[in-house]
Amino acid sequence: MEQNTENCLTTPAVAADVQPKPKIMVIGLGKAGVMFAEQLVSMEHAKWLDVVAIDTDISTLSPYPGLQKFQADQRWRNGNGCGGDLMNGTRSFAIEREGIGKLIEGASAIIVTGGLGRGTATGGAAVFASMAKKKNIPALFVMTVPFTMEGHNRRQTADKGISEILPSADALFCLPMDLLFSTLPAETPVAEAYAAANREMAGVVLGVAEILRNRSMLPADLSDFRAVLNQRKSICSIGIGTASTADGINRCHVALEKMLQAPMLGGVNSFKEADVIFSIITGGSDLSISEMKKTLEAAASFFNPKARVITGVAISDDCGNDVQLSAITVKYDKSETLPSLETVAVTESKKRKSKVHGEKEQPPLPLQDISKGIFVNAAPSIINGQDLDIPTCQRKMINIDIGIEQK
Amino acid sequence: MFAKRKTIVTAIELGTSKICVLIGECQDDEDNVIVIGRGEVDSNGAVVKGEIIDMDKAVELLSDAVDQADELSGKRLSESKFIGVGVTSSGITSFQNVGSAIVRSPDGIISEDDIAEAGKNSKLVHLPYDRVKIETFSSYFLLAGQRRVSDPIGQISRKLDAYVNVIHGDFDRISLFTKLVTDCGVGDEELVFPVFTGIAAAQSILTDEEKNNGVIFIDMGAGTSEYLVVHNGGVMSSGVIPVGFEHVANDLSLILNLHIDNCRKLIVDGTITALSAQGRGFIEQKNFNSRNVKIPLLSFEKIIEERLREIFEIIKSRVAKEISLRDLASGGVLTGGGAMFPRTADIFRSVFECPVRVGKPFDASGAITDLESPRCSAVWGILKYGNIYLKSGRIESGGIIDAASSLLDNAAGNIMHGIRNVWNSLKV
Repeated sequence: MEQNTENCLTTPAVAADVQPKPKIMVIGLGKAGVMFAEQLVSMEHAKWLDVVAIDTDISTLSPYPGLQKFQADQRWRNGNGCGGDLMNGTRSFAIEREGIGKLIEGASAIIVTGGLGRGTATGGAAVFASMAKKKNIPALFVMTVPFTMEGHNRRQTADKGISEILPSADALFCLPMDLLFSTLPAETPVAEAYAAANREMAGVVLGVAEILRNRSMLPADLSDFRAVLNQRKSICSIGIGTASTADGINRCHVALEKMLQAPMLGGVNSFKEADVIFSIITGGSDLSISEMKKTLEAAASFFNPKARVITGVAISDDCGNDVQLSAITVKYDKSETLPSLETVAVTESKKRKSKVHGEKEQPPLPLQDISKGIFVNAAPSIINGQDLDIPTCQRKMINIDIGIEQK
Repeated sequence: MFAKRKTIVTAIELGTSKICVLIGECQDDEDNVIVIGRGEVDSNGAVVKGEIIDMDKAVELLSDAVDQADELSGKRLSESKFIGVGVTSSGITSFQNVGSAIVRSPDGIISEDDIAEAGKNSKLVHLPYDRVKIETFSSYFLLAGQRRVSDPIGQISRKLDAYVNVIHGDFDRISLFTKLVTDCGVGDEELVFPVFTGIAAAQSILTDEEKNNGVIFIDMGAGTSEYLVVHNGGVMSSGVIPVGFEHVANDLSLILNLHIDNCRKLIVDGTITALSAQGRGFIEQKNFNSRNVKIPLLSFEKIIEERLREIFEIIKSRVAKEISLRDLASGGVLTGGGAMFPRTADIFRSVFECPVRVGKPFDASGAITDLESPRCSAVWGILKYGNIYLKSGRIESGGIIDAASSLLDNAAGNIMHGIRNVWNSLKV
């Protein structure tokens, strides 16, 4: 990594030859996903992305002739949708494993996007996650969580989907659609609101892809996403603001303002409540150090002082005169304890194994790992709701290095 | 025939790591107890977290220990006038109770009778049917609802409130301890008294100065940790948490996949302490699969640290409800088997932010004097407790048993005087 950075600084032209341009594939899954993909293809800046729209429903795919399409499960679904059934979605994509494997072959990373809460995307995403893992391709999931008004049922389905994606995904961004309400004026027509949602989501996907693509000066990249989002349920919001020299001298300030107003960010309040904040500035070769400093400092003034802030600076030749300021806020779902129990050191070896196999694996039951040892037959010592016979480190989820077996 | 009357006192401790019996001889005109017999056996899993889980095994082991002690003392066990059995765990908790008295003397000077009345009222405690009162200790007296004193005699006030710390436990589990002792044929049922080991250990370790200045006392044994806060000679808070040093060994064994005996050995023989002092990075051990594993020393330290810190944090949060920790001028005293691991006191110090000393029996005398280890503080304390108890009982009433039972139950008015003497002499 360090070596690459050095190369970039001295001879950018050579560096471009040495480092092949990453091929990032965006997969739009389900009806919402197809619309995001369609939007993405129409965007000028997104030409470099490999966009594929996938659905079981032929009627969703047919209106967009310019799109690279993949109709899943023609044999059983007969060109119909999954009908909001998560199981149907999982089955349809499980049949297509081979096709999916071929499709993502050769990509340096995949970004799967779609709307959680119904069948295709909710059920199918987990299959993509496990296939990507098998092929050793980093997989990011940018999914929307349904509007609250859509009902409790959808929310539940979405939660189920999340719990299936989490174990095998590198990072899962869950963006609540409710965020849109925070910025759109009340009198916005519904059609326009959905169009805005599509546009915004496409922008978000593009922003994430940009982060993955660019050579970073200050790295904020896939490994950071992985560190923050792997195996942890969270609610994210993403704001992206772009400005160019045409917007005036103070283009960075404009970008910051646009970022703060981005609908999927949900306003400045998101920063105040976040546990982790990514703040990434991307610019062309003309991005100056003072601009970078000023912008990042100005952005940081909005952040929750207790949040873990990951700052990144990336340079992209395609940017031209543009600067792009991206902010991703992550708020952990504290009610969710089950996935993080896995991080207890005892299961560390199991986790490593599952990565090699690549297949999605059911997370081990916590019952197996948490033991009381010699106190198993004694009356439990429960104080403040905690069973004190269980090792403190396991209860507090502190990682312990259990050593290396000697041959 | 004898110039001095000598009384035999027996102390029994059924600990998680060891079952220990002491036989002591006390003389009428001396405060000290002379140890004349001692028996000690490994508990071997009969007692876990301070509770007897295997009755047959416990009877067998206790009989062994009693025989050892009896042999050494020259068969004088049967003369015992007091058999104290240390009780712990068993859901022992305490609460502060208050009893009031109106001072009747015309000039408002408080006499012993007023104290006795307030004391009597404070002891009228109604516990649920499955709980039994073990001991009651005076905390402090309040004059006219305002002034706090430890000795109100001679003060002038119209109203006297006596605050007491009532220690109570689970009836069934405490009867189990006394039953076990009588089953072994040690003595009659009426001579067997349950003694809360926390109080007993404090009795053997704390100095008068510490008791007056205020001290937080923790006896960390193998299965349980007892705590006691003493301020101005009165008990402010007391209790047990059923977590001890066996939990540390268990944590190491579970997390690092080592055998529990290995872990105990590493802690007890000082390997961990020695290696971290040398600045070594790894410990090599055989794991369950009998393969050699190189385990970072840091992992051991982390696991031990987390567990001990948690124990102290729990005690701190409980104690802080009763008294401001800043009032405890003498800091902390640590004893019990856990005190033999040097890190324990350090963690105690850092959690409570006060000076901490490791306490061990300092005044044991007699032929058997290897009691000077933190492990023996509880059993030695029970012996000392018995001595003080018998002496104070003898002062007022002829029958020892009368005095003794009145101390444990609600006392009749005229014996209260004697009990106050017990309070005075116990100073806890």
